[in-house]
Amino acid sequence: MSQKIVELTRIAGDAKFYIFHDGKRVLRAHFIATAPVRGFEKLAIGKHPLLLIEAAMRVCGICHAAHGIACSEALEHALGLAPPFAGRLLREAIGLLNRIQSHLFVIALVLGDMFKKKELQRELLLKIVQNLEKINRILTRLGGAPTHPPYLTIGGVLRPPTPQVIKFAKDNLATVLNDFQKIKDLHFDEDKWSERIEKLAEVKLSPKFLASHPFYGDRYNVNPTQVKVFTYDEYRPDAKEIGKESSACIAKYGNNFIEVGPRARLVVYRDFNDYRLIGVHLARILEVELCLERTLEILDIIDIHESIRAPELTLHEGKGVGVYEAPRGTLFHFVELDSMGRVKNFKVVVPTMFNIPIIEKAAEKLPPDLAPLVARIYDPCIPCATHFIKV
Amino acid sequence: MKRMKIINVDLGGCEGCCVSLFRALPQISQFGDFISRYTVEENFEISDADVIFVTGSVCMNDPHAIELLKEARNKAKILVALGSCAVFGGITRFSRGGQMPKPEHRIFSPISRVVTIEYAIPGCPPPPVTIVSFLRFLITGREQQLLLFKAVASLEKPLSGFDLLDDVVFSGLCIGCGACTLSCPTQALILIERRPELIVEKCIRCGTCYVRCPRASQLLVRRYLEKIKSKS
Repeated sequence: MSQKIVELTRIAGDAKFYIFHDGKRVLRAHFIATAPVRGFEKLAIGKHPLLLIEAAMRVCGICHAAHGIACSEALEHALGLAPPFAGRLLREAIGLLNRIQSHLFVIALVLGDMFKKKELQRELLLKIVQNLEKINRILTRLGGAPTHPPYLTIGGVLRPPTPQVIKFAKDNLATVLNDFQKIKDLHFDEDKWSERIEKLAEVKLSPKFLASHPFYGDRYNVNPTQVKVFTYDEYRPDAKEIGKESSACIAKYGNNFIEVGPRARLVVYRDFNDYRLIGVHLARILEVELCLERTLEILDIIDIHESIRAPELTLHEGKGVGVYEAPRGTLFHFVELDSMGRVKNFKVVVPTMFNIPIIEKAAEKLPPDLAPLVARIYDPCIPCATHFIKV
Repeated sequence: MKRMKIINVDLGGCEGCCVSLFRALPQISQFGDFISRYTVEENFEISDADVIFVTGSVCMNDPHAIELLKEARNKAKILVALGSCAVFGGITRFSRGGQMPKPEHRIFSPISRVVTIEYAIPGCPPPPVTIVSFLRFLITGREQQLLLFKAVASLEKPLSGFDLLDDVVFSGLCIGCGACTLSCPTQALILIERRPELIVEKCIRCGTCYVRCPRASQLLVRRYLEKIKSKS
């Protein structure tokens, strides 16, 4: 048995893939995150809930709004609050724009693997970056910034959009939707696929799936008490030495390893049944279109003259859980506040913690040179995954 | 105009600054070749470069991060701290460690505590337009426009909204232009009767407001020039 260590590129953050193989097939794979642990859960203790939201958004610069929304939901649960209808819709739109941002970014990173022709890769890269900028401009107007949108707050959203902002957002979303049709069609055209992607399409994997909502997140559609967290060496006692290097942890739902993310959402809430490994990426492509359509729908029904934030905010003791469908899957934030309303406990369980065992399992079905590609297709997020507090 | 080789080395931040660089890719490619973990096929290595942008604060308890930073210093003609974490420590200045699986990761510092840097661009994250302007100034040799980035790189003490209040607002230098409120990435500054008020609970110590303030930035540049003069 030979060993190969690959430092993964074109994924979010620093990670290594330890691959044990016999030359033809991967026998064992270990996905090891190597980024430092900034320790947001410990950092949050004693802080004001307003700082907690800002800190939570800085867990990740790619799925920032997802963390902001999950954290706001957890704080609202702890304080017995709910955002008004228009605030909830606006928050959903901000979250969906973040999901589109993240998906477009990953689609751009996978282009080099996806297509045979270099010219096509370059043409699509430019198109994706242009559309990503349009989404960033919309998010700047609706959320306050393209990264870590500061309008997300406890009880709703800080500022209502003006009619001009709504018009700007709708016009730009319509052009992105139009442009994205071509990108989508090319991704589904199997004749244009590279040999590596063709090989990935020959392998199927159908684990258990978890999703709480197609577009937002719902703590009542999942059971947060079923979430269990392990260190890497607890999860893989057969690789204790390698596991010690890992700064990420692993999560299980009940006794199961589960897949979360775009494919899980489409399997649970839509009639999606592509269980090939490439199906994860194709689900991501389909989700961009769905999210663009849903955001346009929200902008049509939202009444900007209605209240967008809960009228009163009284800080007190409480416990809450926020569940949100981040770009990479179901995200859990657990918050406990003390009698002064300051943070007593904070725990985050991110989608990548659920997906790491699935990535390793998927790699075991492939030749060694394709293992890094499967990690990229699953889109792990290392800044998010470097957290560990027992739940 | 000679094409530059530009590299991004990340020390383990949130990736927001790396994404900002990626967003600026079409414009950056006019100045030179850009290499980051997002652009290479496999195994990203730091090679000799004209400009290396370092993102993320350095974890003083992580030997790998310190080695990576020193390697970036050795390979770069010009080393730039990009983003508030690399420049001032930012939100990671609140880190207190004790969190599994690496409880020893306790202290996160600005990269200038470990290596010498030529320029610093704060922001959480800095927008692509700032990065592109910086590169344009650099390649066209516009020293005057680069002074502020140099002055920030030479600071020994990190900046925050509290410093803005002390140095500009409370001392009566504020002209009420609102640049600080527009630049604050957490909306921690609001303008009340043309005077900035800091919502202290929301300040993440990124220092963006201080550098964007027309008065505070003048102070930074003047102090920097005086420091240079006294040294010579």
